[in-house]
Order: sequence, then C-alpha cells, then structure tokens
Amino acid sequence: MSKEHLGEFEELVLLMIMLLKEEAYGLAIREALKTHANRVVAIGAVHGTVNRLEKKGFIESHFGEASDLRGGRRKRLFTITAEGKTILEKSRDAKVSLWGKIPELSIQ
Amino acid sequence: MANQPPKLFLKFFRWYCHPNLLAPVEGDLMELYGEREKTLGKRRADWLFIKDTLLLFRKDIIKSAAGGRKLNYLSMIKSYLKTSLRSIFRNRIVSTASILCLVLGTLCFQLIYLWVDNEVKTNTFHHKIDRIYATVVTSNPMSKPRAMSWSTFFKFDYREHSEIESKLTVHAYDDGEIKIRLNAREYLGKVLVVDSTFFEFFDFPFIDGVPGVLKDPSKILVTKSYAKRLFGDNLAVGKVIEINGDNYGRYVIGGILKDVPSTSSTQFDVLVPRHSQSFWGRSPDEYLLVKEQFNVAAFEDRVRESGRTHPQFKESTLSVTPFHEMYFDKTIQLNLYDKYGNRNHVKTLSIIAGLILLICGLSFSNLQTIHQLEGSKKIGIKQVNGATSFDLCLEMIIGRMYFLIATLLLVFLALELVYPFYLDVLDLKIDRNPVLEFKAIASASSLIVLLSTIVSAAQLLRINAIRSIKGLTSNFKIPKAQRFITASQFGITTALVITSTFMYLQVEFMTEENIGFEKENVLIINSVFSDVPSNKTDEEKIKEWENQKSNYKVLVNQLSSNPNISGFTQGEPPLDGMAYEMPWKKMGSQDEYTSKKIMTVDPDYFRLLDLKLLEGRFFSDSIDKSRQNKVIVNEAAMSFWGIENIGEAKLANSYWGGEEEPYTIVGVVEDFHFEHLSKTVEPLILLYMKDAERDFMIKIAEGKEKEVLPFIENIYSEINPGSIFNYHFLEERLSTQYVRERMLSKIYFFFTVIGVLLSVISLFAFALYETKRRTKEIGIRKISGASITNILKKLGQSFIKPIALSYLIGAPIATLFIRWWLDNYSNRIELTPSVYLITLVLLVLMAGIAVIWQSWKAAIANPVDTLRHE
Repeated sequence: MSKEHLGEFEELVLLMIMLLKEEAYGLAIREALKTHANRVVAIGAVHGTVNRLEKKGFIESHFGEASDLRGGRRKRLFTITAEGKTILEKSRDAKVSLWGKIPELSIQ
Repeated sequence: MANQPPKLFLKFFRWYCHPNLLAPVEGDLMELYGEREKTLGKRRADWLFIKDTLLLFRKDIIKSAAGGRKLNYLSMIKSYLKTSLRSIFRNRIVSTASILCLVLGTLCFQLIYLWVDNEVKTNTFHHKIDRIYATVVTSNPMSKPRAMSWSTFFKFDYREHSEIESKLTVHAYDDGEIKIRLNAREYLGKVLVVDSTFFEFFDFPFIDGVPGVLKDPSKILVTKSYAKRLFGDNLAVGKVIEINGDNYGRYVIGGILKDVPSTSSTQFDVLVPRHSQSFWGRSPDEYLLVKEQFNVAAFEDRVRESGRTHPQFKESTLSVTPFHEMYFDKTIQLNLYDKYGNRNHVKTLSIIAGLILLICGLSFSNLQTIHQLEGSKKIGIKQVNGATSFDLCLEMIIGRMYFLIATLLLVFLALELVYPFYLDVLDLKIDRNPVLEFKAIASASSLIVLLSTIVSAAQLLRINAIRSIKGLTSNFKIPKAQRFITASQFGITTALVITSTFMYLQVEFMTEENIGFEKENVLIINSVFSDVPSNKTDEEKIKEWENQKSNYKVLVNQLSSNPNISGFTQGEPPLDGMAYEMPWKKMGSQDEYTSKKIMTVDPDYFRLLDLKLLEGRFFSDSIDKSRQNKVIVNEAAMSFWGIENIGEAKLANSYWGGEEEPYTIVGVVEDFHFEHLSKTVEPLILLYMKDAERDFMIKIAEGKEKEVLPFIENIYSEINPGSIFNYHFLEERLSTQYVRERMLSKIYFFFTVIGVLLSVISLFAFALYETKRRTKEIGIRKISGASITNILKKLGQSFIKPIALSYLIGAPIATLFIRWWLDNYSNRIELTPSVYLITLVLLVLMAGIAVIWQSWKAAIANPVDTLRHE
C-alpha cells in the first residue's frame, strides 16, 4: 500500500481536522463526524485513524491544556500538515475530474 | 468529578494503551464519560465506557509486545546470565551443597518412582486384563483351592457357556526344565506351552510374525533377546530348533516377540504351541476370557459341581478368580505369576519418596536463602538504581535455571552409574523408559526449584533497599521461618532414622527367631504322583490309580531302606500358606463354629521336624489309621478353647459330621511357626491323613545330599518316565519367605542414609552462614578475652535448639509410624529406648561435626583479620 493512499474514513477525519482548526482533538473530531457527516463512530476508531494519519505524516499533534472535566488529562490537538493538504486536494481533484468525465445522462 | 467510570476497565485500558497515547485518549474517554453521565445517566454511561475501552483495544492503540519500556531486555538477560553464574561460583560451598542436595533428592525420587511405577503398572499393558479369569478347583471341602485346568481334568466344555469368549491352557516350565537344543548345544530358558489363543488374552507385541502363527503346530515363538542368544545377529525366523524335556520336538521359529516387559507378572523366553504334542507333563493352569457382561456368581453357580463326574474329585467345587487381582492379593498360586506385589510396600515407599522430596526441597530453599542473604546489599543497590521487582526476580530465576540444568545433567549421569547397582542390590528387574524417566526427573527437580523460587521471590520482594545497603539485612539473623524449616527437616530425618532402625531390627528378629522345628537337611519333592488326566476312559483312570498305589509301596520301601535317609513324611511342609481353614468348635460349648487352621500329617511328621510334645502322644501307625476322628492340637488351640484336660475335651467340625462325629484330642504339641513369622502362632489342628499324591518331605543324613539326590531322582523317573525331577530344600523355601522383608530393610537403610546426608548438607550451610554473619562479633569477643572454647560454645548454642526441637517433632512421628508398620507383624520387637538414644546421639554428632568445623575456623581466626572483614 503506498504511503499516499488515503482511505475513505481517513479522508473524512482529515477534513474534520481542517474544519475544526485549532480545536481538533479526539472527542471533537468524533462530534464533528456526527454532526457534519452523519457518522457515529467509537472513540477508538477516531484515535486509531489519527494515529495512522500521523504516522503517514498527514497531520501533526501537540498537547493542549488539561482540565478537570478530562480527569486532569491533556488534550492532544491535531493540525494538518502541508502533505496532508496536498493529498486532500489530490483526492478532491481526482474525484472532480472523474465526475467531469461522466456524462450527466449516464447517471440515472 | 462526581462519578468514576468502571475501575476495572479503566485499569485494563491503562494496561494495554501505548504510553504515548495514554493521556490524551484517557482524557477523551473521561470527558465523554462525564458528558454521557449527564445526558444518559450513570448506568448507560458505564456501559458505553466499557464498550469504548474494548473498542480501543486495537492495532494502533495497544503498546507493542516489548512493553512501553525502552530497556533492552536481551542485553539485560545476557548480563544476568553472567552475574548469576559469577555469584554461583563465588559462593562455592553453598552452590555445591545446593546442587548435591537437588541431585540426591531427585535421584532418590527417581529410583523409587521407577520401582513404584513398575509395580503399579504390572500387567496393565494387557488391554483385556480385567476380563481374564483363572479356573480354580477345591478338590474337597478340606483342601485349599488351587488353580487347575478344567478342560484337562473334567473335559469341561466352555462352548456351552455363552459368556466365555475364549479359553487358554498354559503349562509353565521353569528355567531349564525344557532345554532348547540348537546344533547339538543345549540352552536354558523359560518355556510356556500355550494354546493358540494366547494372544487373544495377552498383548505381548511382535517384532516379526503374527499371533496366528501359534495355530501352526510346527512353529515356535522366541523373544528377541533369546533369539539373540541362540543366533547372535543372524536371522532367527525360519531356523529349526529342538526342545527336550518331558516332550521332544523339532520346531521352526515362526516369529520373534519383543522382550517381555518388567511390568509383566510372567516372564518367558519361548512359547510352544500346546497342540504340537499330545501330552505335557506339567500340570496346567487355565484362563478364561469372558465377555463384558460376565456375572461371576451366576457362572460359578452353574459350574460348581461340574467336576464331580471325575472319580478322584467326587467332592470338588469349581470356581473362578480374577487374574489381575492376584498380583497384590496372592490367594492362589498361578503359573503366569513369577512374582507377586505387596500393596503395603508400595505405599510405604511412596511415602518415603515424598519425604525425601520434601527434605530435599526444604534443604534447597534454605541454601538458596543463604545465598540470597549474602547478596542482599547488591539487591539494595540495584533497587536504588531503578531495578523493578520484575528485574530482581528475573535475575534470581536465571540463577535457579543454572541449578536446574546442572541437576538434570548430573542426575542422568548418576542414574547411569547407580542404576545397575540399585537393581542388583535389591534384586529387581525394571525396564527403563528414557522418556518417562526424563519426565519424572524433570518434574521432581523442577518442582523443588519452583517452590524454592517462590519462597525466594517472597523474600526478595520484602527486602528494603535502604536497610540492605546499610547492611542491616545481611546482619539479620536467619529468618525464623528458615530456622523452623531446618528444624522440621531434621525432624523428618530423625523419624527416618528411627523407623528404619526399628525395621531393620524387626527383620533381623524375624529371621533369627526360634521357629520351633528343625529345618535343616529337609528335602521337599512335589507331585511324585499326579492327578489322573481326563483324556482317558474311566476304567483307564482307575487302572492308573491302582498302578500308582503299587508304585507308592515301592517308593516307601526304597526310601525307608536307604541308610542316608533318616526319615520321610507326607505331612504338609510348615511353610506360609500351607495350612487351611475349617470351622471347628469345642464340644459342649455354646460357641459358634470358628475358622481354625488345620494341617494334615502322618506319624513320621513329628520325628522329622523334631516337634516337642507337651501332653498325650503323637499319631502312631500301630494305633491310628488315616482319616480317623482323632486330632493333635498345639498350645495356642488349647488356650483358645480353654482346654485343660485333653481326655475330656472333644472337637467338632461342621463339615465333617458336626457334633454327631466328634474328634478326640490325642496329644498336644508345643507351638511352632507353621506360617510366616509376621503372624502369631494360631490355633492349629493336626489330622492324620495318608494320600499318595501329597508332597514328600525327606530328611537326609547330614552331608549326604550328593548320594541321596541321584537316588531319589532315579526312583522319581521310574515312576514318572519322561518327567522332570523337581526338588527344594525346606530351609531355602523358608528363607525365601523373608526375601521381601530383607529387601525392604535394605531400601529403607539406603534412603535413610540419603535423608541424613541431605539434612547434614543443609545444616552445614546454615552454620557457614551463621559464622560468617558473626565474624566481626567473634573478633570483638576474642579481643575482649574470650577463649576458643567460649566461642565454640556460643556458636554451638544456636544450633542445639533447632536440633532438640526437631528431635521432639520427629521421634513421636516415627513412633506412630513404626507402630502402624509393626501392626502387620504379630511377633514384633519392643520399641526399645536405646534406639531413640542412639538416634539422638547420632544426630547431635553429625550436627556437631557440621557446625563445629565452621565454628572452629571462625574461632581460631586472627581477630585483626576478622575485624577488617568487609
């Protein structure tokens, strides 16, 4: 599997991180998926995916503030890297160009 | 936070989560939990939390198998391998003692295990063993049941009984009774003459050939080692050999059997098909293979009186007895049993094996504690440098592995050396199975090492880093538990020493006790006249019987005219199991009939065995006749029935006419041991009975065996042409009754020595540690003016207490055990205090040597050196 390959869910998570900007941490991503993409997933799925994305170099992470609400644990905040942006764009372009090539009538 | 999520799952999550991810993910989990708790309630939040933690258990979240730690464990283990080896070599005395103790303990356990396993598994390799029965005949109500072939003597037809699957008749010949001849050379060997059904009953595996080969009367089977004896490495199958005994025949070797395993009760070299000859001289046994639903009682009911058609067996009763049970309950002598077992011995030896293992385990963990206490400072430093308890245990376990591996190697070596000697001394035959042996050795030594490791781990985890660096732990006294262990282990040793001494004394006592009759120069000759087999018509049987009677007269004349023969009798030899039980009572008393032993004798019995007469007279040919209602009793019978005047008392036998036909008592003999010496002399009734078939006891004039034996053999072969002359000496037969006891006392002695050795090793190591610990103290004492004697006394004191304690534990246990053991013997020794005293002295002496050697070294050391110590 090439490093550049981006899964459907991975793409969705990347988009959510972009959308959330500074506030992209595990739980927020999960919430965003729920509201914007109508996808209810377990927290494990989110964390698994962000780890994978980080390993692929599409996102970076840093630790945020701790709160009592979180049992004194810090947040891990994600930001998208240039590489991540590129691959998102590539994926979008690929799809758009594909859509363009399909005559409208063939979609019924 | 108000509520906590389920702790167990939170812990689980913390355990598996990669440490880098732990904080943020846990934070998310907690946040989510808090939210859910508010909106959905605690119960639902808990469930969802559990679900989440379980779903988080996935590839990208779990830490790698190596753990979150960055330690390089391979190099840690390498370093432990080195350091443990170094510490083993540094503490040379403790290490040697540890290994010695493990090796001795495992070796002993192994030796006992091999024997016990062999005993318990006897005959179990035959998979139909539970369905095999032996046929038994009780010739008349007065005689003992004995194994006898029904088909030979009664033409019994087993086909009429649907529950009998198969029948097997066996003639067993002793070593050399049938000789095997090959190229004009004769070989000895044990021959079984069997039906072709032999392999339907028993599973003796073949190397070459098939079980069906026994159906061919020209074929013979030999075992592998016997084939090797005859032909060396050449091919044996297809070769022709001759047999020569009461039959002569030429046979082709039709197959090779694997050697008979030592777990077989019968041993043989050659199997000969029974139908290859029309008649075999040796009286056969018969075995029945029954179907699963066989009902013993129903079958016996049907066949009980089937033998009464034979003129010689008009009062006989037929019965069957399970073959397998005979090994431990020797009630009937069977041809297929060359040896019998004893449950008590198996039990006692198993206990001893357990005790040895226990002593060994205790000693080993004691020694290892000492080893560990010496290195406690090192452990403290390691702890300070961040070693976890896991690291410490790992190092210790690696050290133990060295001991385990060394022990396994040494035990295998030692077994090779000791094993032949062990079998030889104890006169045993045991097959070796290396795989089983390895299992037993490995499991015994691993068990000891494992237990000691657990003990050490518990001690290790209790060590306080700071105290141990300060040297406080190493200056600690040996822990109380350890002292107690040493004491109890010494206690077990005490018990072993005391019991085995008493056992030895008991065996000596039994074999030297006055048996009450003369056993020297008495020859026993079995079955000069045998039962008439049924392959003849009734007239022929009666004719042969008449023939026997005239032969008998010739024999009696010849025996009494030979000057080298001082007497002969056909009474029952005074050997264990010869007397049989009958219901008797004293006439005129209200008592029930009780079972009392009787033996049949003739008038010469008295003089031949030199019995002592107390009252009345013995039987005499001038006054008495065979089968009259007259008896002679022994002293024990007199006191049992409370008879004072033999003229007034009469006895009745419920089988023989009851009170209508009473027996008068004509004489009283002094008690003599007619049974095993473990039994008290029971009431005995002697009856005068003359039967040609009875065994002969012949008293030979001193030193004339060489003249008499050929003479008797001559007469024997005249009466039984072609038969093999078979004889025993009474003295030999008596001494074989005590072979087992002698062997047992040897075994106990052997293992007691080992037990003592193990204890001394452990005590010695203790003394070593104790003196090392007190090196400085001794130096200061010496400077302050203590003499060597003072110091020795001081050091000795700390060992007197545990030894005294151990003696107090051990002696009563030994007493209980030996009482139980002696209960099997009616003529038993007194528990004399001298044995206890000697044991105490012995123990103190040994402990003294172990302790004083160390203490002496410490006491004479120069205080200048000792104070610089450390």
